[in-house]
This record gives sequence, structure tokens and C-alpha cells, in this order.
Amino acid sequence: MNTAEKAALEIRSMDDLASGRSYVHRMGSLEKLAITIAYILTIMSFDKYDGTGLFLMLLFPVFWYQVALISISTCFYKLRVVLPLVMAVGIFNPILNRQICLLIGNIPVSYGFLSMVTLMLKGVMSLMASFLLVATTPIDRLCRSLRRAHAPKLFTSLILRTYRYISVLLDETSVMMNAYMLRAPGQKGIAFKAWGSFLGQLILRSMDRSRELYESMELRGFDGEFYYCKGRAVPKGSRLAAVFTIALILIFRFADIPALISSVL
Amino acid sequence: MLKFENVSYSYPGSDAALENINFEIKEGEQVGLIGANGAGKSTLMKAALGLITAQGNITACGLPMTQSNLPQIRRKLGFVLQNSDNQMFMPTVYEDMIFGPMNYGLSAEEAEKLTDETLALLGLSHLKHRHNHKMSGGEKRMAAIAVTLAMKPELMLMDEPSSSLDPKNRRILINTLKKLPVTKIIASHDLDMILEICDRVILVDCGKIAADGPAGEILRNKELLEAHSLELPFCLAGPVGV
Amino acid sequence: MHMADALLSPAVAAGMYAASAAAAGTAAYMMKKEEKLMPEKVTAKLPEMAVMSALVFAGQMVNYTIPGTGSSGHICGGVLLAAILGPWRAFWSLIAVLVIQCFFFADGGIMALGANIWNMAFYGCVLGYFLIYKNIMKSNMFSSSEDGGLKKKIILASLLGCVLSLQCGAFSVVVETQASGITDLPFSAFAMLMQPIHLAIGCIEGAATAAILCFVVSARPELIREASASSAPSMGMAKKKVFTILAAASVFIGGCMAYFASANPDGLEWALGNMGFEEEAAPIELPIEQVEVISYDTLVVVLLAASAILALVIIGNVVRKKSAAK
Repeated sequence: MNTAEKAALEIRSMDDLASGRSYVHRMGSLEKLAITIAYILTIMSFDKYDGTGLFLMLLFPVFWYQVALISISTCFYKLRVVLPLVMAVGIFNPILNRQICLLIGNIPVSYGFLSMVTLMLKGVMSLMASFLLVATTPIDRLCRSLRRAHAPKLFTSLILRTYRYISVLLDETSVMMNAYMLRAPGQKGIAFKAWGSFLGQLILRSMDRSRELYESMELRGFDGEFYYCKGRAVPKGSRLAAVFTIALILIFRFADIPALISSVL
Repeated sequence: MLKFENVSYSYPGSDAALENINFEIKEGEQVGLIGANGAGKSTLMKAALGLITAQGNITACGLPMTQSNLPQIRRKLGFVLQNSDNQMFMPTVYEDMIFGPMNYGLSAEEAEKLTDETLALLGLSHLKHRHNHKMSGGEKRMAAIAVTLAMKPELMLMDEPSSSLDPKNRRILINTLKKLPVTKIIASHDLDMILEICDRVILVDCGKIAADGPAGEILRNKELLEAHSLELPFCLAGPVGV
Repeated sequence: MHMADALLSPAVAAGMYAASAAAAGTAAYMMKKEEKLMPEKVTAKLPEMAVMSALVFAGQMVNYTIPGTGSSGHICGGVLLAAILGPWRAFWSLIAVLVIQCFFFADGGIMALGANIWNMAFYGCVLGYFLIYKNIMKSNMFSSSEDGGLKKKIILASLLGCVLSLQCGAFSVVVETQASGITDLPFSAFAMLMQPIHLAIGCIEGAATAAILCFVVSARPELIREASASSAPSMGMAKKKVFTILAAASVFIGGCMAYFASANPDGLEWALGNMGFEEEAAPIELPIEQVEVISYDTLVVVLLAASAILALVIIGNVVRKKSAAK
């Protein structure tokens, strides 16, 4: 299987994930987007030495994954390519900053090590949150909601059309790649000599395709507006759940949870 | 319904693609448009749809083909493209089907009703909420026909509707097309299908009309077909010598 | 070069969103203006943009063998798109690609999207086009060659355009990360790491872009911007707008740098003094009383949270299995 085929499969499997029927899948797209953004912003705002507070924030995605009936391992499996890059960012910190900042029992922990851990946590947690949004919200539904919320027409229609033609062009590309590889066995990629003609051919054909597409729009009386179907019924309390979650996120960020809990204990 | 009088066209910088074309298609006629690759079938269809501006007079649905009449004419024409992917650019079949009607001023409810009726007529109701990028080739082709039919066209033009369909889907397509009373022009190399559906055939070669007459007559004329790079339909060719 | 959410502080992420949104707004405005000048092409452009975005997306899956190295890479497509669609439409097309990559492959986070659009789409499509591509293509360079130097100009423009846009992009990544105060890596060390790598990537991207554009221009010259003498009508207003954007961009980046430099003067000095990590390496041992000792309460809370997470996962698994069995 070549890379284009893999990508096409990947898109299809994300589509399948997103067409689930759990409560999270049925929630309004904009509510989910708001929660995700609030969550990621909160994560990003944590101090790089505040490991405890950050760790508590892990409760949110873990909880919502369970409600969405999606296993967390799916997320890590799908993002196996991206994760190492995210993790690698802080890798120099322990070398650069060896000042001891705290002791866990008798084990000293340096500032650099702590910031590396929080950075990795931040990376993983924001990825988990983004992935959950993607895995429960088909891109077309998100775009429709955005359009209804008066997002620019250019933005939503461009993304939806691009999304529509990605799978078409991926299929075309994978056929071309297979045709190339069959006649050039043992090559890792497209050789220098064919750099121009390979994608160049695809560009020529794509421009023809875009003309045909335009004609098809024209023939059906296109006057600048795309019409989308009505949104599906959003479960009751979806907005309330969003407000509640965002409030809880803010409480976790600004209240001293360890002190609160120990006062209860 | 559709009338070509002395229509000619040439693409910029190349020889004539259409030369002095004359024909008239009456309401209810089922016309097959046949000819070799590059004979001018597609150009002819494009001229009929007003996608290219040809010399000569074209009258469609009682209106002369002029820039100002184009919207009214196109409203009455339906075009099924050879590549269904290029025809359907919305996320779902349903949204593609309401695209035309809503552009022509129908309300959302009317458009939905029309969609449901059209899908039921074609027996495709299960496709309504399917994503366009997740259908098989056969489903896409049938959906593309539904998309066109939802505009309630008076004249339907089709470019190779049976290409890349498996025998079963091709059969479904032929039966569906036979059932539809609307006037049709079908450009195809699938002469067997033309023979089954159409009552009239126009044979084009090198941008000119080489023959125009009843389907049964032209498609049985071996010499004529072979003179224009075509062959007898399989069902008329008789047993092949082994 | 996709940035992740974790690399940015909320303030910097928001700033980059604002910068990208401003650029996108300008692009949309310029597109409207262009449309007024050639109204017959107005609606034809959306499908073109969409199909080209999809093409860039698919094209990034194609691995090009890099001569002499045995490794392979893919294109990112900013200058390529700009040469075909023009800078403003190309910018929007690339935005669509980045948004979809962010939403499908979690390539670059949702909050980092603004920064990614700026780093990858803005420099490639807008800066690369106006500063380099357009000027070279309009000039009389190589006019003694047989085709009027068209291909040579394309090669030079693609190479310089890609190198410039990738250098700017890489530098912005460094600036944004440092302004967010995320990594302990000093500014200049980070820059010394990023710039040379992206010089190499820029050369390869440039070569690929040049090869593709040369192929297209020989097959259908009308598809390439500025390739024919009678290109799109010139716009007197456009230049002013572009320079406004460029000025705003440099002020923004300069501001970020100044902020960083003032916030971490010693970091910069340290890096200038010695590039290696070795000399600084001696750990500073603080007296044990000054070191924060993690409290019993905190440990309990962390353990509680960990067990809650574990419990949630287990319950979730059971529920999932049950619903799957149904």
C-alpha cells in the first residue's frame, strides 16, 4: 500500500469513527469546538513547572473519551506519527536547566526535567482533546454549523469542496504512484527526473477537473450560495453540558484543588 | 425541443470541432449520439448546454441560445457528466440534490419533497444521507442521475452514462432510463445500450453529422458504422468466429 | 514544520491567529477586487482553489527521492500554488489544506493553527510571490535565451521563493516558541538548529516546485501566472496593500523578538558566549531548605486523580464492550 492509499484509508476510518452515535457524537459541533478550545487554552496557560495542576486536567479528556465510547488507545494509535514530534520538543530541557526544584521523597527533580514532563503532558493532552473533537464531529457537520453561525462563506465552502476532492485526488495519486513503482521497482520515491511531470500531470488534470466542476455548478444555476441540510437534532442539555464543562475546566485551572481536597480529607 | 441550425465551432487555435450541424429533436424523443473518440460528441453537448458559444443558431426549449436566455434554458436542461465525482461537489447526496432546485428559488421544504420523490422514483431512497465520497461507482452514477432529475429537466443530456459500470448496474441504469419519459440525448460508445433505449441515432464524425435516422436502421448498417470507426452492437453482430 | 499546541502560550497563539486572520481578510478583499477586474472568471475560481488544495494535500503524500542522499521528502506547496492561483487565492487554498490537516491528522494543533497558517501559508504564498516570484518573472533576466528565459526565470524564482519562505517560516517558529517561554533551549541555539535544516528543505522544495512549474508551463503556459506577456491586469492599489501587510508583519515579528530579547537577555548572551551546552552544564545545587519538597497532600491528590483516570478507563472499556456486543 502506498502513502496516498494509506491516507485515503485514514480519512475513511476517521469518517467512520465520527459517524458514531454516542452522546458526544450527537452534541452540537460548536459546543464541542468551544469546549476543546477552552480546554486547550487552559492547558497552554499552565506554568511549565506546575505538574500537579496539569496532571489533574487529564481527567477531562479521559472522562469524555469514555462518554464518547472511544478508547484512548485509538487516539494514541492514530497519532503515533505525530506524538513523538510533540514529545521531542522539551527533550533538551533537562540538559539545559539542571537546577533542583523539588524533592519527591528523596529523589531530586530538576527544573529542566519538570518542564520537559509538563511540556510532554501539554502536547499529549492537547492532542487528545483535538482528536476527540475530530473523532466525534464529521468535518462537514462542523462546517455547516460554522456557516450557520455566520462564519465566512468562502472559508466553509472552500473547506467542504477541498474535503470532497481530497479522496478523489488521493485515489488518482495512488494509482499514479502504483503505476510509477511498477515500472521503477526498488525506488524509494519519485526520481528527480520525474519530479516535474508527476505532479505536473496531476495539476493539468486537476485544472480540467475544476473546469468541469465549475460547469456542473453553472448548469445548476449557481449564484454564489451553497445550501446545506438542516442540522440534526442536538440532544437536550448539550449547551448546558458545554457550559458546565468549561466552568469546571476554569475551576480546575484557578482553584487550588490539592488544598481543597486536603481540607475535605 | 432542441434545434441546431448551421452550428459550427472551433476551439481556439485548432481545426473545426463542429462544422455546419443541423438537426432538430422533438419532445419525447430518445436520441443516441454516437461517434468515434474526438468526433465532436462532447463539443456538441457543450454547445447545446451553452457552455461554449458556437456560431449558428441553437434553439433550446423554445428559446434562442443567447447569454440573456441562458439561465432560463439551463433551468430546463439536465446534464449528467461522465465523471460523477465532478458532478457532485456537496458533502451528501441530499445536499447535492437540493443544490439545483434551491438555486432556482424553491424553498427548503419544497426542495426536500422533490428530493424524496425523485429518490423514490429511482428506488434510491437509501442513498439520501450518504456521503458523496463514500459511495461505489455504480451508486455515484445513479445518484448523479437523481441529482439531475431533481431539477425536473425537460431535456436530459448524458455523457457516457454506462461507462465503468458493472453488468448489473448497467442493467439497472438501462431499465431506469427506459422508464423515464423525459426527452434524452445520450452520448455513448455503448451501442447495445443505445439500441435498447433510443429510437433515433445521430452519428457524428469529424465534427459533422454523418448519419441521422432511426436507431434500428443505423445501428444495423455495418458498412456505415465501420466507415466511421465503429462496430455493430454485440447483440447484432452474431456469433463470433472462434 | 507544523507547530503543536504545546509549543505556544495562549497569548502568542492568539496573536498569531490575529495576524493570520488579518492576512486572510486582506486576501479575501484582494480577491474581490481582482474579481471586479475580470468578472467573467468569478465563480470559476472556487472549484479551482478547492481542487488545487486537494491536490496539494494529495501531493504531500508523494515522496520524492532526493538525489545523492537516499532519503525522500515531500512538497509543501506555497510557491507552487501562488504561481498557479495567484497569491491571494493560493493563501486561502493553503489555509484549507492546513485546516483539514489539523482536523484530520491532528497535524499541528487547533490553537497552533493561526501560527501554522502564518508560518507556512503566508510566507510561501504572499511573501514568496510578491517579493520574489513576481519580480523575477516580470524582469528581463535571461532574455537572450530562446524561450525568453522563461524556464530559467521559473527555476530561479521557485528556488529563491521557497528558500526565503521556508527561512522566514523556520525563524517564525523559533520566535514564537521563544516568545511563549516554552523551551529552555536558548534563542540562537534553536535558530542555529532550525535555519540550516530549512535551508536544505527550501532548496529541495524549490527544485521540486521549479520542476513542476516547468512541466506545466511547457504543456499549458496559460496556467502559470506572469508566464505570458498579457497576464492579469496590473493593480496599482495592490502594491500599497502588500507593503502595508509586509510592514505589519515585520513590526509584529520585530515586536516578538524585542519582547523575547528583553525578557531573556541573559539567555541570548549566554548563547552568544558559548554555543555548546557543556560549560553551563554544572548543576547549581541549592541548599536543601530552599528546595520545594512535594507535600503529602499533593501526592494524595495526584494518586487520587490517577486512580480516577484508571477507574474511568476501566468503566469505559466495560461499557464499550457491552455496547459492541449489542
